Amino acid sequence: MNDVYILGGGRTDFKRNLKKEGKTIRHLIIEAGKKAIDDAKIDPAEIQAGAVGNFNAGQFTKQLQLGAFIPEIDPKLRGIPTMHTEAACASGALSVLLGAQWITGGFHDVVLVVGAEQQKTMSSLDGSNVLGAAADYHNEKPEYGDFMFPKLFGRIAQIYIEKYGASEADLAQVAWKNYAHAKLNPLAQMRDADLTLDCASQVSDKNPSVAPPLKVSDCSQITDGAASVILVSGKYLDKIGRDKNKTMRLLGYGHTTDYLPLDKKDAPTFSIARKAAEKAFSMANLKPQDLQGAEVHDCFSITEIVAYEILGLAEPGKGVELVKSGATTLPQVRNQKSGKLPFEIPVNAGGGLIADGHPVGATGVRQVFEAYQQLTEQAGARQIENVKRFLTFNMGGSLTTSVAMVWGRG
Amino acid sequence: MPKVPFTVGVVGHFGLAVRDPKKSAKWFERALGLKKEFEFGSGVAIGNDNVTIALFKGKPLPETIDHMSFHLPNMATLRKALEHLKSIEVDLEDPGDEIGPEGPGSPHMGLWFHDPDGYRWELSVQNANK
Repeated sequence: MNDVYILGGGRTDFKRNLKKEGKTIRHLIIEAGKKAIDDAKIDPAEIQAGAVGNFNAGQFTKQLQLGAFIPEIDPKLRGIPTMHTEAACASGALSVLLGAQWITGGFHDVVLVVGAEQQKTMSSLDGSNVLGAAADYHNEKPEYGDFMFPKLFGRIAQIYIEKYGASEADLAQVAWKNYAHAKLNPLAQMRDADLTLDCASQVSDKNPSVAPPLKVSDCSQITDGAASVILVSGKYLDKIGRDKNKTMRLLGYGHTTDYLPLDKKDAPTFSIARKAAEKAFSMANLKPQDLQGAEVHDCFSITEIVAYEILGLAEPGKGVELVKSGATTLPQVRNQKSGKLPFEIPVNAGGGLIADGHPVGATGVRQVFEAYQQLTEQAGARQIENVKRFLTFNMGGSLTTSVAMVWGRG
Repeated sequence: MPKVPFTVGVVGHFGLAVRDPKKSAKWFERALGLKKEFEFGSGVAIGNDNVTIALFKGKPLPETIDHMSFHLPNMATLRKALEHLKSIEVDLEDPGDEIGPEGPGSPHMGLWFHDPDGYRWELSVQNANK
């Protein structure tokens, strides 16, 4: 099986509103694709295939056939095979995985992956209805009504709280941390927003309830954005004379699919999602404690808590303790008096979906690009010190599709 | 091409298909201060000295107009408008970053929001720095 490396990547500024610029998802894909090619410093003619991760451009923008925008990135890409991957919010990770499997299977040596979503094309209500397609729309919509996803994850939070006794203030720790991290990320959607722990902890005019116990600050953003990476084989690295030890490599991955409706899943354990993480660690021959950083799907604050437990970063019911300990907060942000902790793993150093933003189909690719920036020490103010092993966890629906990937360098 | 022998004037009125004309009329009164002018067979006309909107019962198609902009005199008024729209929980675009240029590098500043039928509205100040 061929090894898979990341040679470069890019992303857009998630604060942008494409409609205000008179641009569309086409421009996002082209812009992000060019950034990856420039960063990887390769001739576009070397790229043999392309994958586009996107959730629902058909409804958000009335545009599909997104692979056809790949040739518009550069004329040398005209004629290569392309595919569009979709699994709700995990669409981006699936595009990375598709590219990786093309390389591990020996089909291609250089693959361009772009994830993109343009969401600010309609009202919040209409947009939430489009996002509802990620759930069991025709069966769960009558039960949950409008704004289905905050309500689905509000339900997961209620189940978690009933089982383990967490509080709204505990969930606020995740929101506070991710907003604080976003201030160190020059491309984060909420980089200019101030969120105090006090404000995140209680319902107020500034922070209204959305789906109890979730408030506005517990939710990810509506975002226009794209991210991209160039995946290559070891054979290609040898060809261009690049040192493999200095290049980010995929060490292991797991990909699972559960039943679509929430009430058929074992919340808050999510044993099927857990299998994805177990497979990734097993393939990488690593344990959660071997990691120094992670990008974890935090579509809502409760999702990050549940994800800690799915990924083995915390024991069941101990996710709140982990975030409250400061172990998942960047030392740059954490109260310096706390000093070095026995186990530290900064999670969502760029702000995560809550504060970096959540352009749905781009998110899984953006996570991998963040891993690339961290592992190649290009993360600037949010750099995690001495990071060698990094995890990305992207999921779609109510923990329906789960993709865990373990990355390393050196 | 023959010369057009007239120049169109200010907007008289325009019609908008909405799900519930009376409910929409109340929203426009609360959000934009437009008053009911008269009722007609399938709807309600609302407006002020500058514009009349005929809200008639039908299937909303927000993408048909993309958006409609109303001018405000200055930035102070635009900021007051933002506070007002926030106070009545209007669906504003780009929460926390609502006021911005109409396009990259544009001197015209605006804010954008949606009505209950999904139509996109803008309030803007032309040449905001003058």
